[in-house]
Formats: sequence, structure tokens, C-alpha cells
Amino acid sequence: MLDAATRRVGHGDLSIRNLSKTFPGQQALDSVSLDVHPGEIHALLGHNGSGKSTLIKILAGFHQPDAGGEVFVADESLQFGAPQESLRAGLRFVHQNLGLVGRFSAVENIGLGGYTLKRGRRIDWHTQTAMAEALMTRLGFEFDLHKPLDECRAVERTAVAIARALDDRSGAMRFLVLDEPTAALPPAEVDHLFDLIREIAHQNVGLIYVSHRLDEIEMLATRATVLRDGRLIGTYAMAGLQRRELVSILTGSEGHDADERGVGRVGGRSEVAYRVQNLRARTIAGVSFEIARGEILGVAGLAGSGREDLPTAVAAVDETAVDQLLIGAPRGAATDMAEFAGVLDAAQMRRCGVILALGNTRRDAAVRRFSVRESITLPVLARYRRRTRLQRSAELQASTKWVNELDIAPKDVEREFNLLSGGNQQKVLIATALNQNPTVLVLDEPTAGVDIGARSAIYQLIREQAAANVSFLIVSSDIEDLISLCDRVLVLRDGVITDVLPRHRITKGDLLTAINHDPTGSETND
Amino acid sequence: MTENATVHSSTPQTKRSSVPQLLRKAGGIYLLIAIVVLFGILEPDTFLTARAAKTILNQYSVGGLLALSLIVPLSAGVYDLSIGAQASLSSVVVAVLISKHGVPYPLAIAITILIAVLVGLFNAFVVVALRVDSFIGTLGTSAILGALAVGVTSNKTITSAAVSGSFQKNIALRNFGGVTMPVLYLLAAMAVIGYMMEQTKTGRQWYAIGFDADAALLAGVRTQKLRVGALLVSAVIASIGGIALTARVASGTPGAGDPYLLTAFAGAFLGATQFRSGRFNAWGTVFAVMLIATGGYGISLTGAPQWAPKVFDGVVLISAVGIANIGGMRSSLPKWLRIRKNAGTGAQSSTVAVSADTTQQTQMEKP
Repeated sequence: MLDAATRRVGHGDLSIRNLSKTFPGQQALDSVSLDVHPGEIHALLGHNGSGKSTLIKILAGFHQPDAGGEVFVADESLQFGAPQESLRAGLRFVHQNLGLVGRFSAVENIGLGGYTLKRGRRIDWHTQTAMAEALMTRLGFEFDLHKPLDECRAVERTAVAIARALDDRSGAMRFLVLDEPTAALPPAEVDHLFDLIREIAHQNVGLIYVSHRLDEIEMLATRATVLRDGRLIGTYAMAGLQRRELVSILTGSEGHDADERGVGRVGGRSEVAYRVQNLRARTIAGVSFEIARGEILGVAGLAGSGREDLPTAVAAVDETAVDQLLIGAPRGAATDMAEFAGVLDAAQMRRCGVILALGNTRRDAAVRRFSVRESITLPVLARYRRRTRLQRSAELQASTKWVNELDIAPKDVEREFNLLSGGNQQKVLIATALNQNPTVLVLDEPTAGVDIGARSAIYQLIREQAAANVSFLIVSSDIEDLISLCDRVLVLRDGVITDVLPRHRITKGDLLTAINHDPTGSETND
Repeated sequence: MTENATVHSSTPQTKRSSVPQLLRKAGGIYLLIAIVVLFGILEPDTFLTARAAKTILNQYSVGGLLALSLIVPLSAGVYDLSIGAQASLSSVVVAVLISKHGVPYPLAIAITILIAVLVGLFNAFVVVALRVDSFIGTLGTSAILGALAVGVTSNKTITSAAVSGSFQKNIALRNFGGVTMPVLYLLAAMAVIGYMMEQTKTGRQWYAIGFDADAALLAGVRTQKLRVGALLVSAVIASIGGIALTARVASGTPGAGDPYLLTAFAGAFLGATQFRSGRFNAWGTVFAVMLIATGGYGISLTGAPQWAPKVFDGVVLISAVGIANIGGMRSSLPKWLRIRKNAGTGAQSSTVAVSADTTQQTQMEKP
């Protein structure tokens, strides 16, 4: 371990010395020191709430740290609390949400921080376009820069955000902070991004890479700094560091393994919970599949394969049609299966127990200004009503039960959803769905932006519920989810199912091959 | 709220309201005290009297009703800019029915409210069916209603013995120790709307679609139907405000309800910063209107020109939204009213930064 606190400030380094930040009643960062060298990819690791974001926000000039801390960028002391100063010092940030205007083109977005003007204060689009082209070429990207970003691929949007950071009119970029850049990226585009990151490092820019995905860290980073509860645990060289060691450093416990698979599962299910023929909606051209009771069925596919539209299609939130659909009776009910054909109705699906929990990365997954209690009860408010009045005590009882059962922290059902950490928000979303007594629970990106601890808790919960005969459809761009949880995985491409992987074939290699395989035989370029 | 604490004492902590907490939730009380002290010193003989208090209540009951009518659509994420014109139209319609057509006043009131329901449905048609932005759509309705009010009266003030007779006596002048009927309408509307917003499924769903209509839809909330309902409620309550106005002054004048629109907005937005921080609510709204009323009345007592109280209204409206922006209640405001600081890197808005901060602090509280 290298002790940054006592080391001399290295030439050209980003040197952080004894940085602390106290929020009212809370020490978010406690005397943290670390060095990032130019040209290095330096991973910053830690659970949600470990102090990573606080550290980044201090660097970006959003927070003023406590007195006593210092930051040097290439021997020059950084003035705190001023975003313009951070920018001038050569620090650049690509935040998780990228901060792009979706309806604007790449050219417009890249210029957003300050356009080049010509006579009459008109924007000089000619220069602006040339600049955008030069930047994107430097990053090795070639696509229509005048197309709205909403219509571009996810990796292209990330590249535009990075290109904007590269824009050197306010001084050259020396250090680039990437916060969870792959969170919204399909697996096939991740490699493209990694090439880009390595290329930037090659241009002698120091990178701070924040991610929850350890496999990415292992692939990219040369060194990693681990924070826990606002304190520096250490900076480690990645070469020779085992995954198990890294996990135990992160969690501060021994043998904590998020990868354990199929714990406590019961086999031999045959009863059908959901069977659909020729489901069509948006980009889904027609898929047929079935889910057994208690089965965990995964769905994989590239961006644009129809994967993103499947969760809302199954819940019939988008306009959805089927040739035939059978849904098993709810748990404990003695009635027969419900049968549908033609255009589906969302309320009907809900009544039959097909419940959708969108991933927390989707903005409309929850009413974020509602409390935990209000979030959990919103879809089934009628249940807590006596005559016209909502029974607050009944709402409390139900939400408290879920908060305890899913170990949602803090244990305060009146806490606003917004104020919870990503992992706990995801747990509330799943609790909200489970509270509706699902027969089939459709989970979209159940672990996006979730730290390792919460991830294994969510896995455990899904397994328990499956053992209690809830069927799952798990749609995820994170291969880890599919590997750890699923009994079978459907692979989508161009809106149809191109492969079905049985349990023994759900491995990283087989999944990636199946996802990227083009059945028409032509070379894929994704 | 206290009932919860006893039911689940062993489980997650529930909030117990106490006097200091109430003060913190209703910071406007300090402003009210300041206003009372200021004008108490400036005009001790006229301002610090029971009569002044009653005058304030009586005068601003109509403004209070309009403010209450606003909070339902605002909570549901819909603007209703037609409530002022709705009040004007109702005011002249009830006067015309009684004066020119000899309709008995209870029937006249019923017809007026029925017309208000039709106007509400028209607003709903424009906003929900035609998907016109509610700000624009109801502004359009407002212009049409204003024209209709001029049309049915030939732009004259309508008054008659019938209007100033039993109608005025029974609907407005009857009083309980100086507190007149419109104040009772205001209190009744506050109770009903407060109950609806906070205790019923409909109210909860209104808040849900106001905060995030897409998320509410995904949770199975019938957003369209609820928006129609919200616009109907605002139309009817604004209409009651218009009828009360006619009864108070014993005449119907086109445009008489229009000035209350500003008071209503100021009250609703300032009200959202009180009691239920960040949510439009009935108690906060009535409190806010009374605060505005007290200030306005105090200013008029000092012999300030007639336009001065209006300035006060405007200042209150701007400060209410400003306070909400600075006080971390940003997300209760419609998107275009929120402050957006340029973050310098251009890659992050202040909204994101602030919400992330609080997340950070929250997690730190974990053991």
C-alpha cells in the first residue's frame, strides 16, 4: 500500500491531501489523501455512501471541504468551491447522467458550455461543427453529428459527453473523472468505451474511474483506491490483486461473495405461470415464451434488440398485442388460468398479477418525491381505504413490514424516496411490486447503480420469492444478474428471440456470444 | 399522526408533531407576527382591533376560495389560469339570472354552478383530450370566459333589488359575531379539500401525477380521469367564489373576479411552503392568503395609494417561489420555475448536485 498522506506531491500529479467534509451531523469524508498520475486509470471504489461522490463534488467545485485539506493539480493548489477554477485547473467530469440535452445534436451539445460566436453574436456553426468533428475523430467515433442524441447509441452519447470534457477552450484536460460510465451502456458497447478510455489515458490524461462493476475495474484500472464510511482504506495496485481480496476490502468483511448461485432453490417446476404467443409492441416484432411457476427467466440482448421494450410490453403499458396469452391464477386462488388475445390492457395485466418494476435508472420508475410508505402503497391504495378515507395505520403496517423484510435503510417509512441511496431505492421498487402479490414479476435492470452489498441482498430476495412460487422475468443489461439468478435466458435480437440458453449455458462466454451473434451471418459491428 | 406512533412504537420511527416543529413547518408565522407588529406600531388604533381582523377575513374570503380552487389542479400538475375569469363569469351570471330573468336565487346559484361544471369540462377537453398545455389552454378559456361575461351583461354592472335583497342577506351578510357567510364557505372548502388531498385515494393520486405523471401511470393511476376531476373541482370552487363575490357587493360586474387570480397564485405557492413543506395544501393556502390579506390591509390603512397592496401580492408570489427554490423544495415546483445554476463543467445541473448531497448524508446515518 502506498501512503499518499506523507508522500511528497508528485510532479504533474493530481494530489489530494487530507481532504475532509462534514455535513451537519455527518462526517462524509475523513482526511482522505490520494495521488492520481497522468496517464493512469485510477479506480475509485466504495459502496453508496462511502464518500466517493463527496470527493468528486469537492474536486468539481460543488462542495467546499473542511479547512486543512488541499488539492494540487500539477503542483498548483486548487481553489475550492468554484467550478470554474476546477475547470481551469484541467479537471473534467463526466457524470453518470451525462448532462446532455437529448433533443440536441452532438454538435449542439458539445458547444453548450460556450459557443464560438461570429459577427452579430451569431453562433458560428461552421467552426462549431468542425470542432465537434475533430473531437469525435480524436475519440475514434464516426456518426451523424447533426442527429438528435436521443436517436444515437448509448456509447455515442457517452462519447459526446467525453468530447465535451475534451473541449480545451478553457484550458487543456489533465484529469478526467468518469462516474459509472457503463451504468446505462449495453454490454457490446462497453468494449468500445474501454478502448476510448485507454486512448484518453494514452494521451497522458489521468483518469479517475468510478464503478460498482469489479470486472470492469479489473480490466481497466492500474490502481484502485477504496473508501469506506468516508475514510480511506487504501490505494492498491491492481496487478495480482484477487477478486476475493478486493471484495473483502470493499465490504470490510471476509468471504462476502455476490456470485453464489442458486442458493436454496427448489427444482422440478412444471406448472405454467405465463405463456405468450407472438407478443408484439414497439421494437418487439413477435416473441413467444413461457415462464413456469417459481422460474427465473432472464432476457438478454443488445441495445435496440427489443430488450428495453420487453418489460413495458409484458405489462402492456405500451400498446401491446398477442395471438394468445395465458396467465396462471394468483397464488392461493383456485380459479383457472386467464386467457387473452389481441390488444392487451395494462389494468387487466395488473389484475392478473403481472407486475412491472422498472429499474431505478429509468426516471419514471417511481414518484420520487413520495415517501417510502406512499411509494409502496400507491399502486394498491384501494386496499388501505375504509369508505373514502385512507387508513394511515394500515399503510404504515404494510410499508413497515417491507422495510424490515428487505432491510431498507434507514428504517423510516416516512423518508422521501429521493433521499435513499440507489440500492435502497431499488429495494423499495421491488417491495412496491411484491406488495401487489405478483404471479409474474417483471424486473427491469434490478441492480443498475446498486452496490455489492445491496446487490447480493436483492439476489437473495429474488431467490426466496421464486422459492415461494413467484415467477420472474428479469430483463438486464448486466450479465452478472443473468448468471447469478436465472434458470433460463432468452436472447433477443431485432425484436425476436434468437436463442434460449438453458441453465448450464448461462456463462459469461456463452451469453456474450449469443448476444452478439447475428443469425443472418453478416458481420456485426456493434 | 400521533396515532401511528402508538400503533407502531417498536418499528420505524414515526414523526410526532410538536409546537416547535409546527413553527418550523410554518415559517410564515414569523412573517405574520412581523406584519402585525409593524402595522400595530404604525396604526395602533385601527389595525389592532377585532374589527380589523373581521374585515380582513371577510374581504379575503373570495381570494381564499380561489386560492383553494387552484391547489387541486396545481397538485395534479395542471395549471388552471381560468379561475379568475370563471369567478367573474359566475358573478355576472348569477346576478343576471336573478335581476333580469327573475329566477329565485337558490335556482340561480344551482344554474351558475352547473355552467361552471360545463366550463370545467371544456377545460378538461382542451387540456386532456386535445393535449394543449394547461398553461396555454386555460389561458385561452380565460379569454373566452371574460368575453362571455361582457356579452351577457353588455359590459354593465348588474344590480337590482332582488340581488341586494334576500340573496345578499342570506348568502353573504348573515353573520356570526361579525364573521360573514363567505368566511364559512372558505372554511368549509378548506376542510373538504384538505380532507380530499390528505386522506383520500384521489388526493394521494393527484399528488402522484403532479410529481411524476409517467411514474403514476406505471403504478396504475388513471391520470387522465384525475386531471379531468381536478379541473372540475377548480371550476366549481372558483364559481362559488364568484357567487360569494356578487353576494358581498350586491352586484355583478364583468371582470370583477379577475384580480383574484394573482392572490390565488400567491396564496397557493406560499401555502405550499407551509405545513406540508413542498406540497400544495389547503391549510397552508388559507394561512398564506390571510397573511397576504393582513399585509394588504395594513398597507391600505397607512394611507398608501390604492395600488400598493397589489405590489405586496406580487412580491409575495415571487418570494414564495423564491423561498421554495432556495429552501430545497425545488422539485415541488413545475420544472420551468426551478433555479438552474450553470455548473461550469456544463455536465451537471444544481438539481442533481443537491439531491445527490442529501443522498450522501442520508446514507451516512446508517450504522
